[in-house]
Amino acid sequence: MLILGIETSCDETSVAVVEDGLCIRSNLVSTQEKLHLKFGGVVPEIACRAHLESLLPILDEALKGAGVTLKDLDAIAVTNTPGLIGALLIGVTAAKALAWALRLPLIAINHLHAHIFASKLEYGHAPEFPCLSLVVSGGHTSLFLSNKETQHQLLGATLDDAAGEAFDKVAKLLGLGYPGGPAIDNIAREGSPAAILFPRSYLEPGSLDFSFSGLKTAVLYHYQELVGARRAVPLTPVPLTRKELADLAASFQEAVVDVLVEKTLLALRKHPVKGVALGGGVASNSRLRQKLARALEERHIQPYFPSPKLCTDNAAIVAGLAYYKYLERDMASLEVEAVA
Amino acid sequence: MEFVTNSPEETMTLGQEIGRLLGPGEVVALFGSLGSGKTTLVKGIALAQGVDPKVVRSASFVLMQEYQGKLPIYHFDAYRLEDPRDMFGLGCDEIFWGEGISIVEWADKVEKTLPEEYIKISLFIEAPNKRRIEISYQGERYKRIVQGLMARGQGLVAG
Repeated sequence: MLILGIETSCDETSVAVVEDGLCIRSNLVSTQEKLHLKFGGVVPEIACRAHLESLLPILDEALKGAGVTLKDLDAIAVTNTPGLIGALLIGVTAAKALAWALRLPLIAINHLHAHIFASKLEYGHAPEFPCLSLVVSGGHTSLFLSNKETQHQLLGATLDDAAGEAFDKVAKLLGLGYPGGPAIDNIAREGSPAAILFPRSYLEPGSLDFSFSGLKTAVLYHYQELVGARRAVPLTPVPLTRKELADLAASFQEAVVDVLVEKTLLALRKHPVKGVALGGGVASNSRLRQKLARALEERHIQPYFPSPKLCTDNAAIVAGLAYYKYLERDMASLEVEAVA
Repeated sequence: MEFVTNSPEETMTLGQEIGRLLGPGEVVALFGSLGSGKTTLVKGIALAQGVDPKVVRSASFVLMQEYQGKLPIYHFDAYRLEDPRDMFGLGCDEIFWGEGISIVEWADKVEKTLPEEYIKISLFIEAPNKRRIEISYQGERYKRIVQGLMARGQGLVAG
């Protein structure tokens, strides 16, 4: 069974063809990173226009890459929530048009659930349910108890900034560029994660929610103090040295990672399952993978960490998950809407 | 008028006081740097309108969020926007003239697209937990909010 997946929830336009939920026949991603680079973030008008411009060429490429034509498809799947409303609309409208014209079932996919599915797509068989799923990205930081591919119970989420957003904002503050995640991950390798003890916010005892706003502010204070101290000494260049930047980045990253790992372990104490699946762009962070893998191994819990290509936004995870919704006959009507 | 808050909780309380006074079709523009307490203030405004503050999160990534309170609340965040016209892409022209409460974070980036009349709130970091919060208004309809805050001001946070 061949499912065409479409993903336009944020700044990647992606189309994929996946066979029987697990075999990726093609997965094309056109990133708008360069377009947004000079703005230091996603600009909605640019995002919508770029989705509109790239969707059809990418659709053609994805079909060609999979060696199929529209006639070979069995269903159309699309991310309809959550994301930037204007961006989602492009994908949803295209998917509806295709489903209607080809008389194919339409399957609406939750973006976060698709990220969790990345593990299954990576490993083929895994994860063993129930498992815990941690989705960390620019827009989300959410912990789920996953009972099966299509069923996820939200245990906790960020109350203010998402982890990836904190990475982006701190990277911008330190002049490290956009996207902030890889920039901080890279320079942090040269720094000491113990150089500065930034606060770790765990909220009230037992809470599985997250808060990264205070950490972001703490980094800002520290940065301002460093810059202020330098200004006070004549002839000292104001920009921070690479070592100072690396220490700041590494210490900030360590605080984020510690909270993510601790909350995951806390969730495991409440819900003793055998595996933890990671998803979302921040799941590519090397320090997070390293520390979480170590913590899980000590507890004999199986880590499911998809490769970075499947962690970022892509349509293969959409088309893959759609297969399981199709098996449950969970189809969307042509009236389905994009929901921010 | 000016308030000083000494914790995020106090900033949220001030937000609640403001939120109680806001009516349909009113616009709040927030000015202030990273970490100055803008989102915390929005949580307070939302709470006053019966929205669980837990659902009020930074809107930097999604650019606009909607909460269903006594009045609908539209929470804009212009942090990532470079061109004020991008606000139109988020539907601001319809929303500003609608029946809900609109709140715009990083309003300095999109000042040109704000309506002529709005309540202006500027947040300044004075010390790690201390924030100075200036409230003023453009347009007579918002005078009553500042007056209302003044009337309650004695029992509120110092300032």
